[in-house]
Amino acid sequence: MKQSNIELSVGAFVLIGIAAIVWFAIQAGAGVAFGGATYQVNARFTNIGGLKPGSQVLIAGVPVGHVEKIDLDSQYAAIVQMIVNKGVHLPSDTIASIKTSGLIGDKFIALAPGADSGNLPPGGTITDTESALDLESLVSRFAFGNVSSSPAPSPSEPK
Amino acid sequence: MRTEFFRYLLKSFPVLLVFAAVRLACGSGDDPATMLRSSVDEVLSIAYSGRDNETLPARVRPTLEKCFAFDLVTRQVMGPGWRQFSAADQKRATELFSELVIRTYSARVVGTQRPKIAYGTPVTIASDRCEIPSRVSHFTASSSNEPIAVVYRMIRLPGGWRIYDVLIEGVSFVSNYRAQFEELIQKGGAPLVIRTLEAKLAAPAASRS
Repeated sequence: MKQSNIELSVGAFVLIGIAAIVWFAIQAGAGVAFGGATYQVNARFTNIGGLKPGSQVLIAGVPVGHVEKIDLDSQYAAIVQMIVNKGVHLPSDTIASIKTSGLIGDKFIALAPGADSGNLPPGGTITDTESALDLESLVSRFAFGNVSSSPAPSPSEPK
Repeated sequence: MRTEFFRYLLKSFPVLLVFAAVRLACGSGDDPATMLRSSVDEVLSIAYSGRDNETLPARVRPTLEKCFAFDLVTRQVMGPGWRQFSAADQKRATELFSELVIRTYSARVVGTQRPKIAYGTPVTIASDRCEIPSRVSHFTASSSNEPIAVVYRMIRLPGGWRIYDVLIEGVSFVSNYRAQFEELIQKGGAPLVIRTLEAKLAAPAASRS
């Protein structure tokens, strides 16, 4: 009798453990398993820098989704598939920009909702995008700019 | 004789229709690249006509109004807060913002030599929108000779193709202003936006950038 009591409690403990793992997996996946609480939107970028599947999607700094998939289209542009929480309505003139947290931090997508009365449907595409800023090319512009044939500006020269 | 004439007319009708369609397509500026090229050329020839820069905003305004969708741009720039604006506020904000944009960019006309612009192939981004990449080379001694990447975003409106956003080195004009106005709208709504724009326009040109 005592033996079966111990077995029962161990069984219950294991079951609670499995339930906790399942609950945690659903929470971490933002309910994607059920597909009910999210929807998908796409955006086209000419350069995504170091954006990866799993990168965050933010509005006003608040996480509202994540990057699901990144593909290359026939014109060599990146098509980013995002999963956004269902409660977040995106006007059709929303702008998607690729930003970096800090100077060399992770890349994420910042959404800036627009003023349109119509919202993007599930599976819709954000046409207004800003690609990742290429810091290296901007720095090289300043660093090597004056090597070209034009003379360096004199201090008195009007800009 | 008359029936023969009608028969001839009926036969040639499809040919006439094709001609009419081609003429219409060319005449209404149906090609965004041609429309952009001619507008930019027009603005540049006004800007580099050698006259003083003080009157430049007034001189380029008619051309810019033809090619720039100022109503749409102002609405996009104000973001979600635009819906709280009254009709009168929306009208006033559009007037002020268009003026600010025209004056700000007129002040950017530098040097006496026209910049050289190379246009790329238009990319269709939606059924009624396209992107036209270009590279602008300036010849001023004060800047490096590296060309600047400028992308024009255009939309097909009932009146023809219009520019609704410009990306300079990948930075969007609309996105840049949207971030600034969002803050103003959250602080003081439409009255603060209009007051700020009025104050900015009243300030001397040097501080307007």
